[in-house]
Amino acid sequence: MALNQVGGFILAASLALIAHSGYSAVEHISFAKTTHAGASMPIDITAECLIGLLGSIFGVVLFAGDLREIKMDREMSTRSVDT
Amino acid sequence: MQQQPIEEVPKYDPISPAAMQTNMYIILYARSTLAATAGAAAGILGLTGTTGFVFFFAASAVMSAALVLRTGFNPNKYFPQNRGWMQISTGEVVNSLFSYMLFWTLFSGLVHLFE
Repeated sequence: MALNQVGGFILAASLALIAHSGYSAVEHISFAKTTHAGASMPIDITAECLIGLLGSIFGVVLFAGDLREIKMDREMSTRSVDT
Repeated sequence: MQQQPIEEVPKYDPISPAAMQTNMYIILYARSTLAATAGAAAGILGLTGTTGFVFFFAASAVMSAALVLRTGFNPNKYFPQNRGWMQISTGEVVNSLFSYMLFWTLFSGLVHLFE
């Protein structure tokens, strides 16, 4: 599996984690409003959000593709003289 | 007999502009995605004020570390004029700050404002 695709999977999974933590946060706030208890964000929602953020950082760096060297002789060595 | 002074041949070191453009585009893409994702995280966690800006600069530093890892600790190979380190760690940071604030206010409103 190419590095591109691994990065794509990690990025997609991290975005899903962030979306899930967001939905859980909305549910928790509505729950805390009705029962008047536990007004702070639970630790597992915070942890899920931060793990999703870290995964998306490394996933997008892998997904964005290879950097290309700028020296012209390295670039030319990848192309052949014959067409 | 007069001796001719030896002229120095200027160093000919061509740089591929297509490669430079690809590398700039990769940094732009990575930082834009960072702005969206970190803004969503800051909105969900309910950060306000200075804490939110500190969070953004911390996430930008982690992204810079990830990009340096991707270049194999030698960014001068991918950016011209020996400015590789500056370009990787500070390229597009202020640009993505505005996108970060946009997503931050959006997700704060979605998660923390209720009827």
